[in-house]
Amino acid sequence: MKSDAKQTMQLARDVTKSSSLPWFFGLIALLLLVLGIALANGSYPISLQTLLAWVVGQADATSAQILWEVRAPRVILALLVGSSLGLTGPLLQAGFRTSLADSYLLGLAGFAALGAVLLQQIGMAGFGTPVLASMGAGFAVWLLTQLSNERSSERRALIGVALAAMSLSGLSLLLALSQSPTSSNVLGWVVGGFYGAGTNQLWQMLPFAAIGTAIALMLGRIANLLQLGDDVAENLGLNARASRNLVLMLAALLTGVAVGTSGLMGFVGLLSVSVARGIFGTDYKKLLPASALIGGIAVSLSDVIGRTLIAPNEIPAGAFTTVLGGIYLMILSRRAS
Amino acid sequence: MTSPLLAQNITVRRGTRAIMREVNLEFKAGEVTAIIGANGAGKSTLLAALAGLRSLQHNEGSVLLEGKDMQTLSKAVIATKLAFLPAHSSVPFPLTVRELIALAEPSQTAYLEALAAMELEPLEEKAITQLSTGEAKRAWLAMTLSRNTPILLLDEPLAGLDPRYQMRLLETLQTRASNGACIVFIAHDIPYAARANRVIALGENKVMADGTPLEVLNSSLLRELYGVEVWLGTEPSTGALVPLPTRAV
Repeated sequence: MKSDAKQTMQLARDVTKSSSLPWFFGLIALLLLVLGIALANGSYPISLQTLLAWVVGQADATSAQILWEVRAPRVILALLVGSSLGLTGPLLQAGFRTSLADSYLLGLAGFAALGAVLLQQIGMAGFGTPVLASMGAGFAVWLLTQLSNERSSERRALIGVALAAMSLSGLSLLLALSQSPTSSNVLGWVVGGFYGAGTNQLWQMLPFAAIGTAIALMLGRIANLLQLGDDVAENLGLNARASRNLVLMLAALLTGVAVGTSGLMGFVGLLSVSVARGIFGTDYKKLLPASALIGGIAVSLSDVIGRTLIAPNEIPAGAFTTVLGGIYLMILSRRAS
Repeated sequence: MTSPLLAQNITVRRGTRAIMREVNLEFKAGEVTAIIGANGAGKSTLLAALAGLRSLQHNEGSVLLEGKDMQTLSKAVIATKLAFLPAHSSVPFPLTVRELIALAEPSQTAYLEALAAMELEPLEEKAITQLSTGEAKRAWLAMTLSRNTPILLLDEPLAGLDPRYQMRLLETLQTRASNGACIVFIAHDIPYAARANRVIALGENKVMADGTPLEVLNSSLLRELYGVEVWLGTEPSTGALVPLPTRAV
């Protein structure tokens, strides 16, 4: 019947829709709260009143200058880096059909950093760091797909760990051999953060982050079908191979955009998608936007804690995400045993 | 009338190796066909080729779906006509039975019918990863059945099911065929293959036999095919052929 054909499992959809919306609103509210805290806090505290006045263009000149030129770019960068990394979690899980998928764990982030530094050294700096980093991450994806196969997620995880280790060693070596070999150069890449970040980095990464995010959010159905395996997905109308390549290359782009901006931030993707699964279940149409929101919240919060906890010194945001991710992996392995 | 599915002179390859050449098979609407053969005979590979999931090289034949070369049809069009279920399916994440079936985007009626056919109502909200092998198989079958396509290709659909659900499935397939569907399934259990309208036996890199169960499931062919002696009985109430392997030879 016509009405029945249109009601594609209406009952199932109604149930899932009604239970998800409050959570999405909650995440958005939490994100706005974190952004507000990030904008208000720093060496020059800004009150909520001043912040609200700034939003409507009525703040005093000093506060407005600080917010526009220093704080807002950094806060937006942290948000974009976090949401980009958050998206890599579900994308890599869908592309590799395994929960053990994270851009840091699989070596994409390490190769993004290595790629950026290496390609800069050979004169490609004009492309911009996010682009060079994306190329590095893309190379890591290619290596992973060549060296592992769909049936062995454990093997892929091992290869990823090897790639991650190799990339960080290569990065240290390159930087040691570079013209300005300071330990802070290495540290800045290996433990990512936003110290000194400003509008230049924001304009460099914004177009790629925006395009990557927009495309990723449209891939919910593709990601859902990919988890069924290639034969079933193809029979349901998907070009599985091309779709998987798109999903993985997008993960590489978003990894590169994030790492090229802030350096390595461990496990943001894995943490984001894991929390998202706990709340929203297995539907990638919800997991993708949820992971982006959670990643944005996590990195923004890590940054504001990092720059206020021991002010005027800073703890890089990447230090928090890597420690949290490591703890989570230990909990995961304990549950698996 | 155009056949729903027609393999014309196809070469069936496993990787780069050709395992069967010049295979010609026509599948009709309203017919349930069982494909049998020893391990490694090429049953699954043939079925995947019929489903359009294995590219045919130039000059190695074609598979026609309702008269059109499948390689010229989009995957979206094929998806509306033909549902395929591999022998082994799994998901890496704990989708519920409902979520799995929903990925096929069935209508509400089709969803409920498929759920009922496989008696999955009590398991609807259970995660696939927490089900037994047979229960998970039923969920995958329900997903495939819910698509209500005119052609169904099922690789070992009875494997892992207990006798009740094996019979439920066979009855469902017979009902669908009587409503015009074209059904092809791979069977390892010879008694269940006997319940089909037609049996195709694969062996020695070719189609060894193709006909009714009475024509194909004879002692000498089954001895040649499987290396077993088979007792051929008749079910008293229906007169259906019941072949039972008795010993390996």
